[in-house]
Amino acid sequence: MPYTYTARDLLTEPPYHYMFSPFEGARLLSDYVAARESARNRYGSAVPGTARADATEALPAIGAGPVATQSLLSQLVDAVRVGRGADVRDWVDVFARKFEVGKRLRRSYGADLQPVDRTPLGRNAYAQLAFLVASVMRDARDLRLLNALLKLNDLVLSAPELDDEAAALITPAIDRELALVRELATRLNVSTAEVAAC
Amino acid sequence: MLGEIAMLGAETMRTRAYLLALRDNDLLPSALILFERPETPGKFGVAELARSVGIRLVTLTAGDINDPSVVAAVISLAHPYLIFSGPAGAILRKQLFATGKKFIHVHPGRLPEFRGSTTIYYSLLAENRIDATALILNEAIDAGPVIGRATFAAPPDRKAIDGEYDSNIRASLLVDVMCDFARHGRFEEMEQPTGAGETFYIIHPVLKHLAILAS
Repeated sequence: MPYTYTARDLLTEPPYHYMFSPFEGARLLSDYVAARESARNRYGSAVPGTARADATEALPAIGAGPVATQSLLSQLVDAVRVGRGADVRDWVDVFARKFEVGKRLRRSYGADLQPVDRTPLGRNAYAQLAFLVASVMRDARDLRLLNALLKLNDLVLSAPELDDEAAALITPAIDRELALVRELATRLNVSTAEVAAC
Repeated sequence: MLGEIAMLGAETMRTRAYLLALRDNDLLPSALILFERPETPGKFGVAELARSVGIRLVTLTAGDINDPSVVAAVISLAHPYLIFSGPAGAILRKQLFATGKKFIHVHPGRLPEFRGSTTIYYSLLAENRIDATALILNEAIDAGPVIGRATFAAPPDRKAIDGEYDSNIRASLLVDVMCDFARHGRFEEMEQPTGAGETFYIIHPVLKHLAILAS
């Protein structure tokens, strides 16, 4: 059975809200792992991205002023790539909440973090956020961010095709997500072969 | 019946569970504003149940729980307290709080640690336990003063959580707090610590399956 939650494009079509998702048995887990492994194989050869030369610039403080989302996400990705992951955690929390509430990221937000330009961003912004969430998560006990990561990866991987930039961002996000799901499954004694294989 | 207590409820399994549990303990509210969305007409027989036990019933059809017709119905009641049992995902907005009424909600999670949605599953994943918290709602999500708490055993079949189990544990705690109110004539409100806890969002199916399949 295909993994249902990437079976249609979650960016160009209405998003899933995941309310009252049905129980499908252990098969859901094996379908999920197979789908993610397939994506990993498909995009895993993408060349990892590198930080821009000006990646050491200071990050804006939350609430200090309006933000252009795409530009800020790129800045946060660069900060992670130069080893400043601890600096981006608060912004990642902000954007993960935005995504969880509306399943869309908007082009700009005001100092109060409310949308200013409500134009939805393209898929690579979600790949950036998935990369960021995966980068700041400590372990599988961070259930709030793991939940966001699963939904972000669903959205990104629901595309018919990813460009090189998105592929380079999503590969480590898939790896991290699978590792955290396996860590959680092990702790919970969910010992299906399907999950153990991930 | 409790003269100071009304209910703002939807045609849901939870509202039915609340009324049945309160009826069985002689703690019924004396009025019910029954909210229905046009696209989801009732199928749980809440209106019939309310009529059968003699609750004063006002039925409203609107697209949103904060619709002006609902606000007007709430204002028209003399009751200072309303038990809230809205449709899944419904959030009360400031126009309802501006009525001056106090809305009693039973949240299926321990507060302040587990605020938000589907917290039964998050609590199972994090701590392998299930809690419920009764609170007086305010405009922040699950942040109002607490009036009761309870811990419950996980059901033998965790697939039942979304159905009767969730409704029944909430109804059980609701009976406890209403029993205290009937005895003392007031709720003992305990403010939650500010800044504590996390807000969770609808659980992803993979995490939900892990919570159900955990042993």
